[in-house]
Amino acid sequence: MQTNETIQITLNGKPNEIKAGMTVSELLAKWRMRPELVTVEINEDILQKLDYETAVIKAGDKVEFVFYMGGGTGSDGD
Amino acid sequence: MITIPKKIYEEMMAHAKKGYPNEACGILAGPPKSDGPADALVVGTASSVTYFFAMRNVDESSISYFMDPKEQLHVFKKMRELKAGMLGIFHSHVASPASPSQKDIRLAFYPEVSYLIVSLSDRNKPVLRSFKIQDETVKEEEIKIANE
Repeated sequence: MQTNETIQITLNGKPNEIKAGMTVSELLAKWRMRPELVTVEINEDILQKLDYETAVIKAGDKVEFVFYMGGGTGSDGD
Repeated sequence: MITIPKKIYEEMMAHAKKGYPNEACGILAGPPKSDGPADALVVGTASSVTYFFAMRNVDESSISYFMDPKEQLHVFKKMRELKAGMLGIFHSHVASPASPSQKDIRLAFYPEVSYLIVSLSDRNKPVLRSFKIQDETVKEEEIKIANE
């Protein structure tokens, strides 16, 4: 549950302040990132996408995210 | 324009040829963007490449590439250690021109960086081109191969 409190985390190597109680889904929404296109790691562990909605970010967590990097000549309707 | 030292250019070509007949991929890095409050992603803005990270194509395919997210996270941390930012995303097309496919365009999520594609249609004469892709709009940019 979110409150007005804030916590300090490290987001992609930089200090960041977020609302206490935020889930990974909420954090991605704040950054306007589509969850299906992003890989999220917390404290060196990559999260399963199914857990994004329930994983609550805690004070001191080291959160990393990267967008998918892929493509190629393709055969899916190109 | 993106400037690539000749040594790094040769590393990129060697990686693409080594991956043949599958597509190969990699990340180019250089001086980072100055810090900003919303700058959570590690992205470079200077146009001079100083590092090339050869990445594994987990698709192991001649028509597609996909980087391993774990390896991506590792490289992003490494770039931070090196005080560098991502400047470009590189991949090869093994039998088609060096221009972005619809798939490349659709999966271009980093508008600030360059998307470099090498065509190995003629492996003796690879053709490298670079593009900026934003909101599915593609703009080609000049590549300078620097001798030093």
